[in-house]
Amino acid sequence: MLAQLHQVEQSLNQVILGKQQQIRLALCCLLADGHLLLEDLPGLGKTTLAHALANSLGLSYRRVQFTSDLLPADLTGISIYDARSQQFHFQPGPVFSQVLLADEINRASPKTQSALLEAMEERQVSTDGQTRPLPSPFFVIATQNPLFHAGTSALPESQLDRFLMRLSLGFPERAAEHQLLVDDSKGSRLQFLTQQLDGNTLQSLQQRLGSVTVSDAVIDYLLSLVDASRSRNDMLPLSPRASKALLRASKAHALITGRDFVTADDVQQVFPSVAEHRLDPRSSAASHSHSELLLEQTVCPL
Amino acid sequence: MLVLLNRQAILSFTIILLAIIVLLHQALPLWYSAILVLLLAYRWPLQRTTAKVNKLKRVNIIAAVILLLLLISINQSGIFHFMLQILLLSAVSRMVLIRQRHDSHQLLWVLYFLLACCFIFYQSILLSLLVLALLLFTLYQHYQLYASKQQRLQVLQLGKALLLTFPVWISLFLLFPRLQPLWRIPTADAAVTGLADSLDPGSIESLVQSDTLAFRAIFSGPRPARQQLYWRAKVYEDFDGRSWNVNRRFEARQPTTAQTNEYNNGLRIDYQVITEVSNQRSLFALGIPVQLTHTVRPVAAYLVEARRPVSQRLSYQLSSVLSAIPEDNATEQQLNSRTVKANPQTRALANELAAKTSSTAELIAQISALFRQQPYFYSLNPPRLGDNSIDAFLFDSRTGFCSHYASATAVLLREAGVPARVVGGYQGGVWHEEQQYLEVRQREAHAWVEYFDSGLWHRFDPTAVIAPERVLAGLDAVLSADEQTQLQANWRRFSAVNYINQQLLHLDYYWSVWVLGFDESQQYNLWQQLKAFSKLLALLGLVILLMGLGWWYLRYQRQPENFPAPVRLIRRYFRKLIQHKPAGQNFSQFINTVQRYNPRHAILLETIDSLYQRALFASDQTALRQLKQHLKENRKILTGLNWPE
Repeated sequence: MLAQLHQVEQSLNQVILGKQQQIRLALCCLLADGHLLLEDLPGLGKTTLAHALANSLGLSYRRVQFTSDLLPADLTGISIYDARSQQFHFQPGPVFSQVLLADEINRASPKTQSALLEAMEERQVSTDGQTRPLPSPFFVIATQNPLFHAGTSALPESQLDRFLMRLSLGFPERAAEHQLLVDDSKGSRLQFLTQQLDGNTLQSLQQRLGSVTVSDAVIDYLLSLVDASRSRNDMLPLSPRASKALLRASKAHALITGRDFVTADDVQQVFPSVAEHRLDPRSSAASHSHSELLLEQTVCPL
Repeated sequence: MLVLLNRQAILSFTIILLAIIVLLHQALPLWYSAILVLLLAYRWPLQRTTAKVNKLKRVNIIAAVILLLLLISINQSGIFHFMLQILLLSAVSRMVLIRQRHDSHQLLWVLYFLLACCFIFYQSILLSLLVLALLLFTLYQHYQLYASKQQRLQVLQLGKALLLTFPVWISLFLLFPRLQPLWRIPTADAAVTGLADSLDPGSIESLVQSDTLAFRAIFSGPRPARQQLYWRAKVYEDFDGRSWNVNRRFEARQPTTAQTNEYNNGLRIDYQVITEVSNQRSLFALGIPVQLTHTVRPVAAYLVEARRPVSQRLSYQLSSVLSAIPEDNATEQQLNSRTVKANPQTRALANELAAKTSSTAELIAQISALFRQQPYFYSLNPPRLGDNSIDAFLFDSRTGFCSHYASATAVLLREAGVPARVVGGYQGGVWHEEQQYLEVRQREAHAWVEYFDSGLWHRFDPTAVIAPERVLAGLDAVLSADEQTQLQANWRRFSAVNYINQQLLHLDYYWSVWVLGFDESQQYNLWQQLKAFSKLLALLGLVILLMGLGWWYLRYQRQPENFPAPVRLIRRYFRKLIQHKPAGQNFSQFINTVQRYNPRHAILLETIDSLYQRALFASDQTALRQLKQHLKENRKILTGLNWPE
């Protein structure tokens, strides 16, 4: 199973060139059953990555382009009157899929954003007084433009908190971009995506997460990082939800690296992408200044 | 590990060595200091070029030549200075050769020793502070040299560290036993200051021009009036027609020990004297010294003397009775009745006066009247006198300073048949009310007469007749404005400078009383006083102990040292390199870095890393055992791992 995962990772690397670290973290996020937020300037490949991820997981996925006039019903679906049966029929929206690609999520109005919020956290949708469960697994892979772009409304802290990780791809390296231009004539890069997981494999991998060993020493170190954020006033404190997310992501990272135990290194690797958007929601995803400060100043005795 | 010295360290060593050369200049001939400085200059350009280290041979030859020169001049410098010279030579030669940190070790310890040697020459507060600063600088360099990059002290931390050691300094100073020196430092002949063994007309005038301190006195109990403050230092009994000298066999005379209870009639004074360096043995005392500390001893004519020439500031305690001095030795009368052939006019005058009077007291009154009624003048610049100096003064120039009057009076008395002698010392002093001490400078130098009458030596000060203000108010009151200007150095005229100077002198006084004067007896006194407060102190000690324990406990709580076993193992075997690990880095990353610097041991380090991870994070006992075994087997390699500076 792990071998399959590694092959997926490799083929993703064929699609997005030179971003091994981010791809591994993105896979970590999905393996840890968390929602992923990709934040970048337009044109850096975040939509491509989102598509590639959704594709390679072997799950059914829908894509929604968020705009300012998008209504909650456009996401969740509406009941339509069927004249033949003289009944209302619920027409499920795009949220009823295993992977929801929410493109440019911060272009939507807060009302629509909070409709997504409920779906993300509770994995259910309430319409017309009826609660409908979402399929399982359910992932949201959202992309957003940096906040200073025109026509964006920022996701509130509470909603940012729902995302396990926030990643940024950044500009490709020169060699990678060169390769990208050379291959440009050959068509879409998504064609390189040959490997796919199937839903069962993903689920059993997620189950294996539970059997990854976490020693007390690692938990102590993780807590001292979290504690350090709580004793400072230049950043928001990390919540227990954040520490749970941190542990889950660390476990996933250990699993992807091929270990059945979590090391201090796993924690340090996932920490910036798990913690930065919780420490300072206004910062851009490319800056890891707060989380890196914490990593630097918290003594790692392990 | 081979570590090259950086420029900063070399520059610091050069500065310290130069400072030591300047401080120890008293022990070094000029040519030698010049050679040392040249050697240091020779070292300096090496650092800038890539030239190889000086050949050891060359330096050895240079050092041997210098040593030879030093050996030739050993007679001039004396054995003690010779030793200092050799020590400096070795330090400077080491400095010339030094390239690696490893080499600087001996140099540093020799520097400490040389700095301590500076205290042989200087004890004043300013120079002590300077030496202290140099010592701290050396310590700082020593630390910087051996500390790792992370642990290099910032100035602020340095200050904190010094503050922490301050109580230790104080308690060492207060509690460390004052041992008698095991050997005496042989001192070369140094310039003698103060009153000389010979009193010419004119010698006191030149002494008075010096503004330096002679001694200080602290009175416990009543303080005598100013006109009583005749500090006796020397007794001149031999007159050769022109100058007065200390008797050649004065040293050999046995002093009678004065008994306290014999002198109930006079005023008894208890006081402490702190003398400056004079390189003479003679000390200062008022009246009859009846009780003295063991650092001084009584000598003939009821004077006191140090056991060896005063080459460092000396403090002694005295009790004196202010009354006429008793006869000390049977030969004294006869010694002080000798007359010489010179000065015929004076002899005639003496005979005339003796014929007119019937008692010694009357004779003294006659001499006083003579000085008072005839036009005699008191001056700092008397005219030069010929061979028959007394005649020339009494009948010709009639202008003189205290020594002229004292010597003329003594000659008159001797010619009239009354035993008389000239006493040299100091009169008066400046009383500092706030600091409660009397400051006596060289300008208070004075000479007066003692004559023998009915078994006692009475004091007669002719200056008090000519210029009573000299005795009542001090020298400045008597002198003309021109003469006062002559006495005062230019800068003394600015009152601000004067004020600062005076404050520095007071500081110096407290330094000498509280620091230099802190001897065995003071230490004992301190203990006695502490005993009185023993309960309070015990309580205080208990509180301090509890606070210390509390602090230790808190510290222990804050930084739990009980690491898991694999971490303990890694910390132990990598203890040399672990100080380079940034706080936030984990050991795997750290070992990765070490691997980069030591590619030869990459496989070993990788194995250790994976075993460590299994042992710590997966609690794998076999891995722990293997890790232990691996570390133990490769201990040598691990201690030899490199870390770039």
